[in-house]
Amino acid sequence: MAGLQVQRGWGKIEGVELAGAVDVMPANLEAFATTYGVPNRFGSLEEAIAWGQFDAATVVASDAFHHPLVMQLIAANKPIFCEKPLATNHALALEMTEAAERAGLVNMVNLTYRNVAELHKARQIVTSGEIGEVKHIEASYLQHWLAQRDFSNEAELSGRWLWRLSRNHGSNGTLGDIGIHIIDFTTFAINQPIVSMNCRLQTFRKVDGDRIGEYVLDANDSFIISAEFGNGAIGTIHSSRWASGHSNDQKLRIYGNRGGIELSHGHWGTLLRVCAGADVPTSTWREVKAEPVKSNYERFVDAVRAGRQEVSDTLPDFRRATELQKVLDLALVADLDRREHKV
Amino acid sequence: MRMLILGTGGMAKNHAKSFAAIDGVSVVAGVDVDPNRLDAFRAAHDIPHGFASLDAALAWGEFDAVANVTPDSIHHSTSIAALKAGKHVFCEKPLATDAIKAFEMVEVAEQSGLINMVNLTYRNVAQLQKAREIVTSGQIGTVRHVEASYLQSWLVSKAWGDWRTESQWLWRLSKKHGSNGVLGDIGVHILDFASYGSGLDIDHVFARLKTFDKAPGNKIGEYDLDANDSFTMNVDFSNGALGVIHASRWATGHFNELRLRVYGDKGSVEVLNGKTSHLKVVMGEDIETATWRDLEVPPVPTNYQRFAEAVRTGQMQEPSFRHAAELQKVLDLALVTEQERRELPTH
Repeated sequence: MAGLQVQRGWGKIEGVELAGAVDVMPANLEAFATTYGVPNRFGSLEEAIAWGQFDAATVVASDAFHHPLVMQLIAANKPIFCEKPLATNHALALEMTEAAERAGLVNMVNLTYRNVAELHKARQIVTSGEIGEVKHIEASYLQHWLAQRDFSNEAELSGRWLWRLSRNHGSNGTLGDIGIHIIDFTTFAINQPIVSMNCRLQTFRKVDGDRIGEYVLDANDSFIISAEFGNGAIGTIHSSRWASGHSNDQKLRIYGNRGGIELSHGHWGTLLRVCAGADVPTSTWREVKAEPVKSNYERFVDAVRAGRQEVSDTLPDFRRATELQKVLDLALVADLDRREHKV
Repeated sequence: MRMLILGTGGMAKNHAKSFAAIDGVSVVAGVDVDPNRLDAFRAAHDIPHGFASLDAALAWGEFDAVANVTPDSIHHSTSIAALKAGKHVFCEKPLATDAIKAFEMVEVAEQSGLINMVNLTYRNVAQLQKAREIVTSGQIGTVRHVEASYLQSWLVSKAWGDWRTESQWLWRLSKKHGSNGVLGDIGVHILDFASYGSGLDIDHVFARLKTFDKAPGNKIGEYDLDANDSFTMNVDFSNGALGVIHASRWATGHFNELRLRVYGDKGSVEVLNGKTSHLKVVMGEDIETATWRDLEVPPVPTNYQRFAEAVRTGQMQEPSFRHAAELQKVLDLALVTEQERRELPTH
């Protein structure tokens, strides 16, 4: 992801300089720093902090290391841009959030779909009251990469895919991988939190014994969430890696008592359609275009330059990621006890 | 086949027209407690005999089968009486007002060896039948994930009339007027769409129902507006696949639209039924590029036609009383899970 961040974000913003890079693996560090022309290289964050010649840090380490690294950066008074998920559970995420807020540091989590302009437009339509009171929601995030895999071909699987199927390799399955995105997508668009929820997870058998080499294939492949939102609306949020015919598609349908919004996003592009006002009696849907929005990278740089967390509520900060983490944690609990839980 | 139409209000005209149009079928009598309604109905559909009660019609006995178009709460007693008198029964949905009653009807029907079917109208959608055929023939592999929705917007749009003033809509919002809300009204259709289309039985269900505030004190005249407007369901199926099934009367932009998406490990199907019907599939080589194709599907026999054929051949056809009773069980459980806020097994 570090390379992707440079290509999509940091490398394109004027005045942003990659001053240093940290990795415990010398070969990875060398390759990254050479590719992107990073002058200073460190084998640990301690060394980088001791050197200190940087204004902000982006944390692109494995999920489990986010917490210790972010806490060190907060102690060193550095603004932080962290990959999602912020932490591996709600308690750790909350600790990071409170520490960052106490220190008054700019803090942000890279929920990449906040870069989709139509998502911001959908939220604006909802909050403007154009579709009235939101009543009913359907959201899905569908991928098909498990339906396409040949599980007898270990070599093909091992690099990119296997760790995502295995809890002891740090994966929380589809819930941790893309669930966080669709939950953010949904609750951001309608500007309402989830207040109660039920969730089921499922892990389908891929090979006899559910194991390939060192990888135990125990992470969830699919989830379904039934949710109630802050304003009383109800909805369903679901996801699968088995959805043949969808390489990476998010779909959000929001129905209010004065209009509806349907938003689809995938590798193919984005489509935002609205039925409201005079179109309600005929159920006529119209495409709505959205003005471009700043990327997470740009908004983080703006905030660091201003020296304060942006006043805009559209910035995915640590607190936001912590709320999402609570939902993810409860999803696991609900799957075990098969009950609804209050968030 | 000589048909008797039991109950001549509401849906009965569809039954009279549809059965009369089938070769070898004649509608020979109507039954209604309201003589004026019965006379008008007989006149409109050219029906020779009329009776004020099912008992009177059974005493006469000159018919082979009954189309049961009585109010929901009367289905149980009348279907059982007809079956016990040796008549085949084609019953409107819902089969009964709860699963216990529905299974009593199943027992009588199955012991009788007579044809028993329930008019789940969306079985007439050719695209649904074709989708099931594709799924059950194994063309999309093992089903992993299902999404089904039934979206209406009559609480928002006035295209069907104004629910605030019209009794034909108000009663559907009120429990004591016999409504079980959107769950009772269209829930059975989308449950059938999901389970029939995917070829799978529902094993566990968690449902939430919601009744939104609609009027001061949630009351309009004699109508307490307390029946559910929306529901969401988390389910799992017999093979472990997960699914979401949901419905709402608030889905602005959709007058009356059913959608089913069934995802398998070798392909997927998507059925859309609104003003028109569509079937989209992705399978074979197309799954690598996520290329969906529209399938043209020839019409299928209607439930009316299949019932007539079942009676003619003596071979049962679906949807049977048993199938409808299984769906009723899920609907009953949905009400319990809303109270208890936990998932429940269907058997």
